[in-house]
Amino acid sequence: MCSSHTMVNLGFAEAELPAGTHICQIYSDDRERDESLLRFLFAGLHDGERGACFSNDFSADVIEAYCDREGLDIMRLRERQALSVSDVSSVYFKDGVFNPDVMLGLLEAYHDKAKSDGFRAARVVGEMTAEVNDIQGGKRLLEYESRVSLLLRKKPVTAMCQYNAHAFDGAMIMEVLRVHPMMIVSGAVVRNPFFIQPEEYLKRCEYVV
Amino acid sequence: MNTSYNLDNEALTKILLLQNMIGQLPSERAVFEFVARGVSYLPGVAAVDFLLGNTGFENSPTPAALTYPVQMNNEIFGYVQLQLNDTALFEGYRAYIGNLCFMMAAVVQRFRRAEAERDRQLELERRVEQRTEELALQIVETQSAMNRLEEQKERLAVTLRSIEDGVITTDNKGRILSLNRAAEKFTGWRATDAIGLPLSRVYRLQLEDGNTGFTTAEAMTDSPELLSQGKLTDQDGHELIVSHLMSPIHDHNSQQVGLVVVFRDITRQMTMRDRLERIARLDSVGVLAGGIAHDFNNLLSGLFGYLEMAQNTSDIDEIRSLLNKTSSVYERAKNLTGQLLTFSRGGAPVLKTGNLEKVVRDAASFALSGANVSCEFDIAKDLWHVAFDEHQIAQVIDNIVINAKQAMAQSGRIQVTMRNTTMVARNHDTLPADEYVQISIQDFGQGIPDSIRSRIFDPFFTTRKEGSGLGLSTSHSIIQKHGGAIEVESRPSEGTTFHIFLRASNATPKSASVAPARFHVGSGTVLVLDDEAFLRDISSAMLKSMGYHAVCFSDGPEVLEYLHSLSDADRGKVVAGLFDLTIPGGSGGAEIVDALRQMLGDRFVAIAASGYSAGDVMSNPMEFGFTTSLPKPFRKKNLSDLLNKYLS
Repeated sequence: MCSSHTMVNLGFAEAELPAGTHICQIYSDDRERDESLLRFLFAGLHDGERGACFSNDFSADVIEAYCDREGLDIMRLRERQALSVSDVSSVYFKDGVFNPDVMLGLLEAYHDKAKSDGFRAARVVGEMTAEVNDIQGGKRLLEYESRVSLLLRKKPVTAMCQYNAHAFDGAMIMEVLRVHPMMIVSGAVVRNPFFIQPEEYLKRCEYVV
Repeated sequence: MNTSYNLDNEALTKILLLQNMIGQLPSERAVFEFVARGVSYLPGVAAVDFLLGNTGFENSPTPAALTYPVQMNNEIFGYVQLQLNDTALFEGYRAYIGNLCFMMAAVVQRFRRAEAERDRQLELERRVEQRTEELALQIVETQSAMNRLEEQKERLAVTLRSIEDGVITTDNKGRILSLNRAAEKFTGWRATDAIGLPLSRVYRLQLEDGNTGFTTAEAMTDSPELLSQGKLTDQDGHELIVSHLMSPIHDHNSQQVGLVVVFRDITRQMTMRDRLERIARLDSVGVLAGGIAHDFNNLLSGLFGYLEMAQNTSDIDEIRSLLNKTSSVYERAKNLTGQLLTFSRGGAPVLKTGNLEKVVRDAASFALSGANVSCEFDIAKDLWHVAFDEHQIAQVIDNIVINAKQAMAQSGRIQVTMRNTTMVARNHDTLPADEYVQISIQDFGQGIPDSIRSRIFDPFFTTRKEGSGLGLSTSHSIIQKHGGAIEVESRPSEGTTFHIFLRASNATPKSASVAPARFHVGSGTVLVLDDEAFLRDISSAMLKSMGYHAVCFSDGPEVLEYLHSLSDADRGKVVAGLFDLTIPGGSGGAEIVDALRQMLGDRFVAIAASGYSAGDVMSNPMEFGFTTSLPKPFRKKNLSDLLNKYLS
């Protein structure tokens, strides 16, 4: 669970949750994915958080255009470097390898930089693509997600992971649920009853924490 | 009832989440996989397996196994089989899992329906695509056939547009269906206006036999084609002579569906034919007229030669007065034979290059002097020079202007226009392509009736009591001999225009000759050759009166024989000769002039004389060895002028 005392709005309801919440969204159409992504990002940017987005479908220009339509001050966001947009491969699969350690290091650095830059919090939204099934290190996806939950306790970056139901089999989808404490169901953020604490999950995976 | 079981809220929440999420999964298999994995995390469950389809598990389930069919009504979509490790602990969830499996069945059924709908849609799309391809093929084939048809139509249309024959098609009732471009031109009707109108309104034809030439398709059944010639009147009232062919049109069932009229403007051919016929006719009449004029001139020469001698020798005033009156009759007789000679082949023009303006202005003004008719001139300033015979062209202008004046009865206006005209090959029927000066003389009188227009150039054809009927025929002859053309254009009640075309010349204009002295006096021997004794007599007398010794001969060889007989000294006294060109049965001047030149040299003045005005020699005597020419009949003054010019 998240140990932060900073409360943040995730964009899906009035109620706030602690910064560092780790959420997953299982989606089956792109519109559902895009809507959740933008709501999540806008909520953080409105509240003075730093936001990062890993997506193959959105470029920085498009995200900025949406921000502008949302009423956000683009120039201000740029000045503060409040928003960064990257494609999935350049972040998750850099050099053709999925490396959880590198990813976790980046996430930690991202948190620390946001803090030092004076942001009240930081959030990240990323889509995990089917590419992970075939790439070197791809089998460590669930380990990575579980370790993210662990890291976020110390480095409370609010993270939303998006999974395309078409890209993974049903059992894998269930396993994804097992490593995310919160999830989005029917447009609402709910506690995930299938979640297993990372220590236990990693233990079952014979990963030494 | 589950109330007797101790149920874990967390487990119930998991079941609830599974129920919620299966609707988001994309396939049957994903639903089974997801639920099987999720149920495996429920209390009392050791493992979960599943099967898709309705065949069921091959092995009989163990007592600890629980199998749920995923079923909707009587249709089984698969099975979920739970291996329990704590039957009692799970017992409370049994009904929930049954319910979950029912919801799975609903989702799967939705998938199946969606898939069936998708298959149906795909089948429909496939059929549409197949039909579209078939239709596209049909369209391509149809389009191809239409293109071929269009090409054929276009070729036909281009052909019809291109040919110079007019083509009109009608339906069986004689209503126009189409007109080609030539038909539009000939009738003056635009196709868009003419289509639908009766043929007789657009194609106004008067055949030679007086019929209109029209018939309906029904009436043509027994006579498939009619070929004839007639006069077509266009929309503006202009008339064309056309050859006319009318045929029925049959469809592929041999049914008569209309008519096609093909006609050709033959006005030009007919005009040319008339013109050539006229030229031939005038030529033959000219031969006759020339012969008569020649003999008549000889007679007149004799008659008036003696008359002149009588005038000079008579001391009785009364006789001299009568002789003077007779001389005036001589001038008229001479003019008449002169006209006849001009009209005939003999009157070849004596060409000099120059500007026509003065000749035309003077002749027209002179012809109108004293008349109540004005003459307006519109003459190009840069008018090209023309090689022309001043007297003959003046005579032509005189003839035409007098005709114009008479056409306007009491008063009126004549317009004389002179323009430079470049004729291309197809501009004119008889003239070659070249540069011409065009003289147009227009009157605004009553016009020339159609019935006589083709005869106005015939000799002795006249509509006036006092006319000789030689004016226009002479004009025609003169212009012909100048290598030009004369044409008439006339409309009843509107007037007549004569157009004269004379070929432009690049030669430098010759300066006017100096007028000779009136009476010549000289000395030496002059040879006279003529077959007529009285002409030899008169010529001899004329020469003697001017101081010359005349020696007369009736045949050419006699002249040469005489010269041979002379000593060099006497031969040196021979200064001139007057040679008749036509000696019946003998040799005239033209045959002996070269021999004369050899004997007497260039100083010898050889004069060609002829009452026939024999074309080439009389027109260009120097080219034939003569010094000059003297047309018969001539008077003493004419001979005196010549001798004054060459022997002074």
